[in-house]
Amino acid sequence: MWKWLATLFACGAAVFYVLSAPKPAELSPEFADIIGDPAAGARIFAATGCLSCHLTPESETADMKLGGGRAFPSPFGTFIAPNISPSPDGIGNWSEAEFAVALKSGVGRDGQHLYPVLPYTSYHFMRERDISDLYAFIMTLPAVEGAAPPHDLPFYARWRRPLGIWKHLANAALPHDFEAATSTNEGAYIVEALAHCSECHSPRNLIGMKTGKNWLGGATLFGSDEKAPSLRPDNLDSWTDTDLKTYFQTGFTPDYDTASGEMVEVINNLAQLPDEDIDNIIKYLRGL
Amino acid sequence: MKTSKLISYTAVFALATSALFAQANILEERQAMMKAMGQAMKVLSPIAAGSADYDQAVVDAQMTAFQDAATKMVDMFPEGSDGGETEAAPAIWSDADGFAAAVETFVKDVNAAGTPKDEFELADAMQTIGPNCKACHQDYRIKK
Repeated sequence: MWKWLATLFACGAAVFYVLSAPKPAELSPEFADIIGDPAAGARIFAATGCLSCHLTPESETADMKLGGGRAFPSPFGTFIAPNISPSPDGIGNWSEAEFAVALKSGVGRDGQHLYPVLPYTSYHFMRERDISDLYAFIMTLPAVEGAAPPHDLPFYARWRRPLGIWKHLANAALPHDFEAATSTNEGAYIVEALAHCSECHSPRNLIGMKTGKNWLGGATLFGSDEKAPSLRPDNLDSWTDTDLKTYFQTGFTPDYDTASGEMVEVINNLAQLPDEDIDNIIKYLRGL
Repeated sequence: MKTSKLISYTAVFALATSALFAQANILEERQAMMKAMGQAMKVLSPIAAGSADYDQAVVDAQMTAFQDAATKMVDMFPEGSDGGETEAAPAIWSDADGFAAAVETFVKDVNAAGTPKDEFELADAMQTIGPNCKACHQDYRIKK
């Protein structure tokens, strides 16, 4: 009897050990040969919205200081955005490949899991070319001295290993084949991989995982009372394409109400994208 | 004795109900004030952009929505007016200094916009006042 239990426990532990292991994304052999273009990276930077979370609080947006420090309260403790500026306290010593692995698989430079407050379930679908351009662009921004404070988490959330299991489940829960969609449909690529709209607009379960149901159908922000509305066609029916475009570029709704809360930052980012990108976003949302 | 008790009960009751009414009224009043500004933006933006004809009477009438709000705004969010059907964020009261500064900027910008006399002045006025909407809604409104 005890032998059986011990065996069962050992097997369980072994399965957990294997499934929870950090799995750095495998980059293509060509990745090393891509030369990042900072000018093209500026567009990716706007679409992914790095600045909205990593901007040094109280600093001017125009100064583009990625010093981190902004707090993100959640049911699992308070996460603090790290310094991702090109200083040794940020990602100045990270190679381009390490940067790509962090975005695509949520595995840090030290080989540990990163918390999904970095939206890697979305960035997983980013193209290597774009990651390379983004890296090149970030390296042109001011180097900010000083690391941000560490996350403030309860004891049970400090152990990162279970995130490996979380990632498997989170990827399995994604509702459709993003690999195919994001490589063929530019709108899907911007909405799902770059702008990570689903991180706020799709419902999550108790362990903070997007359930895959009612995709982009509206949700309450994780760890806040703020509501993100549905982006599905039935909710956008009364808006024309021009209305949507005006909203994404200025923040004004057809009634001349405005975006509020987190969406204000999102609009500030989207407003920098070329018209064509906004048109593709709208086309993709219309087809959901 | 009896009468004085009755009077004091009535007084308490009257105070309580008037406080409730005041609460409901302030919500209604500030929502009407916000809607009026939204409406003004809706009417004035196409005029400023040149896609609607310039009509001085219309412009003057709509501009009053901002001037009116600029005089009232500071009194529209008293302590305790955070209940009921409101999207006013708790930050209005927890970050009172920040909110006061935002209101001050708004008032200053409305005064700077003045009373436009042609579509170019109107466009400038819209450019000056417009960013206040988003700036305030970012930190001080919560969509529920």
